[in-house]
Amino acid sequence: MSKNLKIKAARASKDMTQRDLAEAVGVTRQTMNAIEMGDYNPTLNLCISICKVLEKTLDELFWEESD
Amino acid sequence: MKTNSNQGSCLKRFDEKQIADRYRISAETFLLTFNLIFFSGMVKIFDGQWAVPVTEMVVLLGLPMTYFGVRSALKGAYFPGQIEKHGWLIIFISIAIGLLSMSFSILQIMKSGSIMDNGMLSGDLFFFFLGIPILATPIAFLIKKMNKEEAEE
Repeated sequence: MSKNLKIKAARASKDMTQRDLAEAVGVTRQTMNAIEMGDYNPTLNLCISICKVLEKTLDELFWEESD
Repeated sequence: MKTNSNQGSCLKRFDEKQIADRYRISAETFLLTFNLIFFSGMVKIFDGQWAVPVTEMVVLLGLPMTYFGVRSALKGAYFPGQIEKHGWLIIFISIAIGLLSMSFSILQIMKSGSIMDNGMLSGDLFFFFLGIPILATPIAFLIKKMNKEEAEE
């Protein structure tokens, strides 16, 4: 699974740390780090929570264009 | 910084990744236990008793317990991120009990001069195998904690 740089960029644009985002969606910082590093596939509920906090759509954060 | 107030802002004690890790580690531990019991049985059938019953029991329990404890600690599956005061007390008591248990076993082995008894692992190893999970789990937790703090600095 590839790194999710879109979440990292969206988080940075809102001036949030991993810890801030993790607390806002109710997970640990380690889990948020694993999602950004592509080591963990979050559930749809968690994806939606992240999108709402970062004010993005699911497509903008989680859709991967195929080559 | 603007956050959506509709989201759960308080950090739950354990999150979905921790729960998923627990399922994975539990399944792996089950397979390990299954294999250990199977091989122990095979050795008994073809070669006879390999340890006195009490040592055999603690080996078959202690190794999966160690695997489960160490993997859970390293993955953070059963432990909250922050350790409260009583948490540190439990960690140090656990390390002390583990060390005591292993020291007692080593003293017994030194006294008897061998870990074998009639071609089987002797009962002197009971406290050694009992001490392994009690000692390994808090040490793994401390290593994880130290790595985490280094990563955050």
